[in-house]
Amino acid sequence: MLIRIIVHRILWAVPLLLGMSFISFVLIRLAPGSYFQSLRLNPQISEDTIRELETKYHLDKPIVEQYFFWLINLLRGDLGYSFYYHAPVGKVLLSRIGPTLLLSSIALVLVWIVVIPAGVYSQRFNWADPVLSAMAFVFMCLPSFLLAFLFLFFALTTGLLPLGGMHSLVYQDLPWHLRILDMARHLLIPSLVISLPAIGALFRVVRANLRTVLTAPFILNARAKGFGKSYILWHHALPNSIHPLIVIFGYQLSDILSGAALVEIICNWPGMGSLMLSAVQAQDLYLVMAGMMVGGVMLILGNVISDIILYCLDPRIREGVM
Amino acid sequence: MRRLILGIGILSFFYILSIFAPVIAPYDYRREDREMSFCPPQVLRFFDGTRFYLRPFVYPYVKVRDEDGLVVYKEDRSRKIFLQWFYKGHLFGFKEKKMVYLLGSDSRGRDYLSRLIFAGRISLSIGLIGAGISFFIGMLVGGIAGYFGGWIDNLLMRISEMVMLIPGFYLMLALRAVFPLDMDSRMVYLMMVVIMSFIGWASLSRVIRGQVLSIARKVFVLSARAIGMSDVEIIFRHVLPHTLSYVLVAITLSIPGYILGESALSLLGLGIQEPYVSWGNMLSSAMNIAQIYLHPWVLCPGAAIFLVVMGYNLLGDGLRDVLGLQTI
Repeated sequence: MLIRIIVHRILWAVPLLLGMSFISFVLIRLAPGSYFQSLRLNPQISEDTIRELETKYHLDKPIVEQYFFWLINLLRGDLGYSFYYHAPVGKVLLSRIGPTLLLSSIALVLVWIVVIPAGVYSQRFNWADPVLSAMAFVFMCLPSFLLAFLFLFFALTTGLLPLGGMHSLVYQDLPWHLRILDMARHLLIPSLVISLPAIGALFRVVRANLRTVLTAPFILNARAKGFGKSYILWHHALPNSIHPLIVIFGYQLSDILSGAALVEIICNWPGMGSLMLSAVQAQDLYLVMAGMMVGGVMLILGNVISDIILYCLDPRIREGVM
Repeated sequence: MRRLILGIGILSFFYILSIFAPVIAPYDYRREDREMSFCPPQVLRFFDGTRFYLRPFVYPYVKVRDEDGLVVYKEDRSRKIFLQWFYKGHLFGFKEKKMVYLLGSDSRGRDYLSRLIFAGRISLSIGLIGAGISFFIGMLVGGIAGYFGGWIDNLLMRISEMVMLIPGFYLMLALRAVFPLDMDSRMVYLMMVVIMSFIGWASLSRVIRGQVLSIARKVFVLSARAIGMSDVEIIFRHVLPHTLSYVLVAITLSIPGYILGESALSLLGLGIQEPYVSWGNMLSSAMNIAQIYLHPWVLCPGAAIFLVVMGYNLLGDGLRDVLGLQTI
């Protein structure tokens, strides 16, 4: 049953990815300007070389044909050639996906670790609700770049945390436990910057869901049976309000990924975001396309993961009722 | 209700500032004074230690060398510059040849306060226009999909899913890639609006479609069809107006996204370029962290963005409560 859901989801994803890549490709190619135009401005490169390159990558053909060349190469596992890095796109991407995944997943974990207890405690104690709600509202409104600036400012004035990057210079010479510590210190600011606004936005959803569930008759029943407030919240209200949250989790990956791109650039994190920025500045078509595709695939992965979690947590789906 | 009023208050403050920018801002946003780069904010004072003045004044800054031989700005307490209301066609000004920097100055000695006020014009309008465009597309697509249902609905919703699948920031970067970086700022402005509403309409159309789906089954729609109204007429005159309250809230809550998108692009130097000014491109000097340390006032545009985003969220929440819509 689980396998059927996953296969179904992935099969759905194929036309979605095709459509997305086609839209992006056409938009990018229709827009004026290309990498070759900036090459043409370089007097050291002759017109013939450029034409040769264009023919080699089929960029002199109609757009739709170009797209199919790109697609066929993609299916062969060839993502194209990065004109800017002078290397196959796959190779360039591979070195950048790891750091982005690390950062995003740590941010995600952070979000959920904070959000669920915060939501429950806001309903557990009367005083906590207005305080936590106000904090969540402020976090939600804080632009991530402003947050990043403030954190980096803090790091600069106190000298407690590194100002960016992924490793210290001495990273290679450190024993493994210090390596982890070093990474953690570098991860702290960017992951906090990504997760705090998400925590703010999600807290409101968790709280609203819990409040709706808390008005249900079975909660009254549980209270009548004499269960404590805390027990009811954790064992009755939370499990019943978790379903919409997990669906959000799948979509949230898009936000986290988008948000991570900007934060990566500001914090000098060597991930996909910084790569996309330099690809954009160099008008590196295939690298940009590949970046988009990776983004789309990660989103679909997010949806698959949330499907799996839903399957494990929600008996209604497991039994095929819903 | 309190939130609604607070939100309207914050937003009208910023919108009035930027609409009347040429009058309210004490100087032109392009006026430079290279002698006074990164002059710290000059605080408006009422009390000079001995006497209380009803008219606020500032002390002028003079450049002196400190013990390390570095040039620093120091207040010259011997002279007061009084603020003049309605001075030379501006709301207020100072009888002084040099500029008075109430919020400090930037690297070229331009007045930060004036720039902040003028920058609001771009940053604030981009949200409205972008949301307006995606409102139109979203209404159209959502209305058609929800009303007709069937394969049209399926097709349109699959397309909107595709658009939602695209990581927004990546697409913005990607599309920016193909335009020349030294493009005219007015074109960049247009382009950013179009790109962002291209990403934004999808989620809006899904909200509208969901609404239309339930409205289209109601009796009054059936009656309209029975008296022979055309589908187009029914959609636009009877169905879509019923979704307006939802759409209003959804749009209000989506505007911060446009403002943040513009800021992010301009911050990276891909959006609005000099000599035009937006909050994002003002903040780009803060990308160099040492700047924040040495000149903390470069973060002012960030605070403005924060307040406006908060204003829109308060407004959206308030509207939702007032209109009694709890589900979105």
